Amino acid sequence: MKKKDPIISKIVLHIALIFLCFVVAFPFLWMLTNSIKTKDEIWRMPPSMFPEIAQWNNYKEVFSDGMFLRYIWNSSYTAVICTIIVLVNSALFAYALTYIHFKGKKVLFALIMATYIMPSAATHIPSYMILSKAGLMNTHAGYIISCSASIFNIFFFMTAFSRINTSIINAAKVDGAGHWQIFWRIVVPMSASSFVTLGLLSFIGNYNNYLWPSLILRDKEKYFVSMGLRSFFSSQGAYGMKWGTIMAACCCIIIPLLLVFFFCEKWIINGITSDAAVKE
Amino acid sequence: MKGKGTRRFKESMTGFFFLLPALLPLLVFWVGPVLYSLWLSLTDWDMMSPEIHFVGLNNYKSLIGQSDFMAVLRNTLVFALGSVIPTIVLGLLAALALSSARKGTRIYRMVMFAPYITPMVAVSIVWSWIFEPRVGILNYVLSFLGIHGLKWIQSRDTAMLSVIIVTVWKQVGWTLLFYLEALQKVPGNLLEAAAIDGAGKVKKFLKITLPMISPTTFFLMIITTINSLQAYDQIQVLTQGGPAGSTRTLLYYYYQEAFESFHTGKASAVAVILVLITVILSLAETKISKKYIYYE
Repeated sequence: MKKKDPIISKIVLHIALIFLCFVVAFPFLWMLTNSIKTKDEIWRMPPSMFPEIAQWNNYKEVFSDGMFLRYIWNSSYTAVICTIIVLVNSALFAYALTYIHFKGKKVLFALIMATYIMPSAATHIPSYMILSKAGLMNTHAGYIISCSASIFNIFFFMTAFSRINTSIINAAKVDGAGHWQIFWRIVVPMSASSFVTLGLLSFIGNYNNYLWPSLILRDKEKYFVSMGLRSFFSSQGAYGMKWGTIMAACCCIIIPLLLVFFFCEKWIINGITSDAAVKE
Repeated sequence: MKGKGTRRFKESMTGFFFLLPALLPLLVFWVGPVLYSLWLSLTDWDMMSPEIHFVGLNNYKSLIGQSDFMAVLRNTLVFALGSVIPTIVLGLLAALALSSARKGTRIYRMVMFAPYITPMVAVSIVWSWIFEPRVGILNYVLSFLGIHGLKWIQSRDTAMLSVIIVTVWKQVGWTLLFYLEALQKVPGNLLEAAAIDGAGKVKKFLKITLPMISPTTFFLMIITTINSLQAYDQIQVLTQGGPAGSTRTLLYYYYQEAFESFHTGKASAVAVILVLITVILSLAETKISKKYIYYE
């Protein structure tokens, strides 16, 4: 600190950070500017960062058959339903583990702990069989049902709930409140921020989900965004020509998420690093 | 006494109803399937035939004797090490830079974290354009450094590197967040005391900061390793396990065996191996992090 000029080292530091941010953000910028280039500009060497005139034809082409809106709708509505289900049932589960006395609590807790880190791959073949036996293959209902439990959420809620001052809950009990009332009137309002954070994280997780839905959904009209994008990518020829259109399609999928992140950054980031998430 | 008993019973019943909505899908789609996979790994089932034959450990034996399975294991190890180490090192460096910059931290953090929340499939497609050998921007930039003609995802020498670059790019912001938290908790007075004793920046970092944040480092190493075992989307988009199987990892192999070749039994054995590796890693995590907590 004393040896070097603090202002110069500050400037160097910020230049380094800006450069780093540029490198990290570059794929997004490149995607954006390429999505509005003409075909000639895309293939031109040396490449230019920006097009001479912004072209919106690529976007028109992406939306020409209406499939992309469909994919976005499919992903969004299933993600919303999954998120709501998972928020409610995880919160109830965590409440029971935190505040209700019952036998076998320790066993149940150990079981949940054990499955927490389990790779979901280990469940895919049997889950696939269950869905096909139940006639839910190739349906959104099948996806929603098979994604309607989240151990991560349960853990997160357990930590959040255990921070609530127990004297409030005991006072409510003395006043004759049952668990159901305590849950909705005290615990849920007092941990509202956890609900927001987990809601955002589960929505994003479901919206981005690719592997499992691609195993169970067959019809194109039922595809989620990542699957739709993937098949669009192969149909345009991975080494073929229409990179501009492909970049436009990627923009349509990625930019809404970046906007959500931009506006809800605080909730998302706090959720990820909060001790509740993984450390305990 | 009786009143107490019924109250207890009532309490247990309430507990049961609170648990049920999550317990049901957990049992049906998590616990049950994991156990069933274990059973399937001991059979020769092919997903179609009505009969399932018990074959003992044959699937495991044949996997171990198979040279392409060994290649898969090697690829998995290369991918795990190749993605975990840069993710941790870069995340730490970025966090150190960020924590010494007083202003603009929030914006820097936001930009660096952004890739983490975007869909892997979409960003992998963007990257495959960046990797394009003839007119891709990456080869263009590298040409100024005198590096020419890399084929990236189209060559077996560089395909794994490409997959690793995308993976590291996407998750480095995630480790950054954890390191930022950890660095905040390093007591400032310790660092000041060391500075008074004449310790330089590097020495302070090596002797104080690094040991203080080692629980975070360890935690991140285990979690990113577990995550790397589950990498699929980027491989599926960029290389489909190729060229010549050079990016086929354990999980990718599992999906090919299970849903392309319908070797259900063998695929389940691969899944069980994956579970075992994960369990060992996370047991190591809990054991060692407990030790750290006692040390503090």
